[in-house]
Amino acid sequence: MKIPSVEKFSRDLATETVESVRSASVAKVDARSNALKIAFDDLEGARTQAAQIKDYVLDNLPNLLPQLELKCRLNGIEVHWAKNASSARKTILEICKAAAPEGGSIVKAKSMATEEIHLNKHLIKNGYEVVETDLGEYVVQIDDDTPSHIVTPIIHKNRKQVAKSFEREGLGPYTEVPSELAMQARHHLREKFREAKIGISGVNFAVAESGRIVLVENEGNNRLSTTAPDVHIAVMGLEKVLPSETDLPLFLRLLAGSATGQQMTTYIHMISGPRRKDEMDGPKEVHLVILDNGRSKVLNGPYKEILRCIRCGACLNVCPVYRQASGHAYNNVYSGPLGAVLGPALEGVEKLPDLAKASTLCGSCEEVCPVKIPIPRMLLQLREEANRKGLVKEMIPWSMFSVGSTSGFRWRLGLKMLPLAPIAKHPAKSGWEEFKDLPTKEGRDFRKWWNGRS
Amino acid sequence: MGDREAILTNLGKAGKKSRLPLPPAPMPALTYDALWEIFATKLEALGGRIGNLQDLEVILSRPHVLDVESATRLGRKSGGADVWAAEVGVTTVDLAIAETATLMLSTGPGRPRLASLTPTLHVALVPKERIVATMSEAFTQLTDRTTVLITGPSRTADIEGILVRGVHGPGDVLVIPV
Ligand code: SF4
Repeated sequence: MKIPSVEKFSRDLATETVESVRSASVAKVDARSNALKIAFDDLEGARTQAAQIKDYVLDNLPNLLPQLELKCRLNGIEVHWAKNASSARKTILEICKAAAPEGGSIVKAKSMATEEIHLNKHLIKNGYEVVETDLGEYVVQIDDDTPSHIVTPIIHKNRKQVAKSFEREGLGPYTEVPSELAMQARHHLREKFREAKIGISGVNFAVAESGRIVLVENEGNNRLSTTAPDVHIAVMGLEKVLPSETDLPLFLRLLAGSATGQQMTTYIHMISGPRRKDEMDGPKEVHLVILDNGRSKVLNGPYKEILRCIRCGACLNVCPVYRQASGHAYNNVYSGPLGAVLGPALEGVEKLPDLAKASTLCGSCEEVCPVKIPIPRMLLQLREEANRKGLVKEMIPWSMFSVGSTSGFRWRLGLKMLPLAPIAKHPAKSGWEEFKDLPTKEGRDFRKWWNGRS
Repeated sequence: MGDREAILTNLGKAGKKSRLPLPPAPMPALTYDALWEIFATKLEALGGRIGNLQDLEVILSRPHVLDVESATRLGRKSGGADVWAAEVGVTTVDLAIAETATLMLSTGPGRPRLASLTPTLHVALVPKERIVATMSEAFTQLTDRTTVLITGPSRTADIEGILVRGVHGPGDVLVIPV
C-alpha cells in the first residue's frame, strides 16, 4: 500500500481532529512561555547551557556510557546493550521470559524508545498481555490507534470518543466528564499494577556519575509501573545520559516548562536500583537497556544535534504544519519538526524522503527548543540530500512552502499570497490561518534567519 | 562482536571538548517562615494543602491509614493498612523545596516506595527546618537511595487538555510542617 504523504493525509483529516490538535497546541504554547518566564531569569542563557551540556554528552558517549554502566551495576541495575531494534526486542523478551515464563500482564509506562522498536507487538506475539498505563496511551491502545503527539498522545481525540471507547471496554457507564473518565481508568488499571510481574518504562535521563535512572511524569502510572512489579525494565536511547546529578535541576525545569507549561513535573522518580534488604517494596530486579538503533550513525553525520532532544514536544505545538496535519501524518513514531529530522536521520532519508518537506521553515521550532536544535537548517539539509539522491519527484500543493523556501523572493511572495491562495477553500482553513501571524509571533523572522544562515 | 562492542566501536573516540561549568546558583537568604510561605503559596496553586498537627490527629483516626513509622516517631499510634487498600499514606519527607513546592522523599527502612503513591491522600510530614529555597540546593543533599520528587497532586490533561487530579497517584496532598 502506498503511504500517503503528509499533505495528502492532512487534506483527508476530519475538521474535528484538526480543531482538537490546533486548539490544544495553541494552549500549550501559551502555557509554555508563561512557565518558562517564571522559572528562568535568563531563559536564553539556560537554553545555551543545556545545549552545551548535551553537546558535551554527545562528544563523550564513549566515556559516559561505560561509566553509567559501571555505576548502574554497583547499584544493582543490570545493563544490556542493543545495537538495533530486533536486538533490543530479543533482550527484553528474554528478561520477560525469565521473570514470567507463563506469560501474564506487563504494565507499561509511556516511552518513545519502546514505540520506536515496536516492542508491544513483539511481546504480545509471545504471549504477554501488554497494558499501556498512561491515560492517553491507554486510550490509544484500546482503540488500536497510534499516538499523535509525543507528550499528549490523544491530542487528536475529544472526550466523546474517549467516553465511547471506555464504555465499549466495560470500564464503567458512559460519561463525558473528564475526571470521571480518569477515575474509571484509575480503577481499571489498579488491578493491572497489582498483578503484573513486569513493568517497562523509558528513560528521561540517566546519570553517569551516580548510576541513577530518572523518570519524569505527571500521572503516577510511571512510578507504579516501575515500583509495583518484581521486575522493572527501562529502555533508553543512548543519548539520554547526563554527566552529573547537579545537571538535573536545569533539565528538569526546562523539560517541565517546555513540555506542559509547569514549573516542575509532578513526579521525578530517581531510581538507584532494586529494592534493598532494608526496604519493604520496590522491584527485585532493575534492567537498563541501552539502545543504539541508528543513533551512533547519526552522531557521526550532519544531523547530530537532533540527538540533543529531550522529547518535550514544544516544537510540535508551535509548528504550523503539525497543527494542520496532526502527528499521524508523519507516518513515523516521532512526529512534528523533531520527527521530520529524527525519523529520516535514524532510518535513512530513503525511507522517509517526504518528511523534510513537511515544514514551512518558519523557524518557530528552533526558537522554542529548550536545547536549541537548529531544526530548520537540518530540514534544508535533508531536502538537499533527498534531491541529490533523486528521491523527491514532485513538489506540488502543500509543498508550495518547500518550493517557496528555496528562494527568498518566492518565499516572501508565498507569504504575501497566502491568504488568497487556493488553500483558502480548504475545509479546515482555520488551521491555515495561523500561517499569517506565525513568523512574527513565536518564530524568529524567517528572512532574518535566511540572510544570516550561511 | 557483541552489541556493547559494536556500539562502542561505532561511537569512536571521545571528543576532548570540555564542558561549561554550571552557573552559580545563589541561595536566597530567607528565613524558614519566608520559605514556608513561598512553599504554601505554590503548593496551594497546584491544588495541594498545608495542614497542622490537629489535622494529623483527625486523619490518623480514620481507617485505612498506611503509616509505617512517620506518626510513630511523633509519639502517635500509627496504622498499618495494606498498601493497596490504604486511603491515606503518611510519610516523613527528607526535604521541602520552596521555589516549586516540591517534596524530596527517599526510600529506606520504614519508608515504603508506594506509601506516597497508591493512596488517594498523601500526608507529608516535614520537619520545619528541613526546607530549602531551590531545587539546586536540594540536590546537594541527595542521598544514594531511590528518591522521588513530588510536586503537588497526581494530574493529567490528556482528555481535551482539561486538568484532572488524582488519576493514578494521590489527588490530594497535605503537607504538615512538624
Ligand atoms: S527538538 Fe527540541 S523542541 Fe522538539 S521535542 Fe526535541 S527538545 Fe523539544
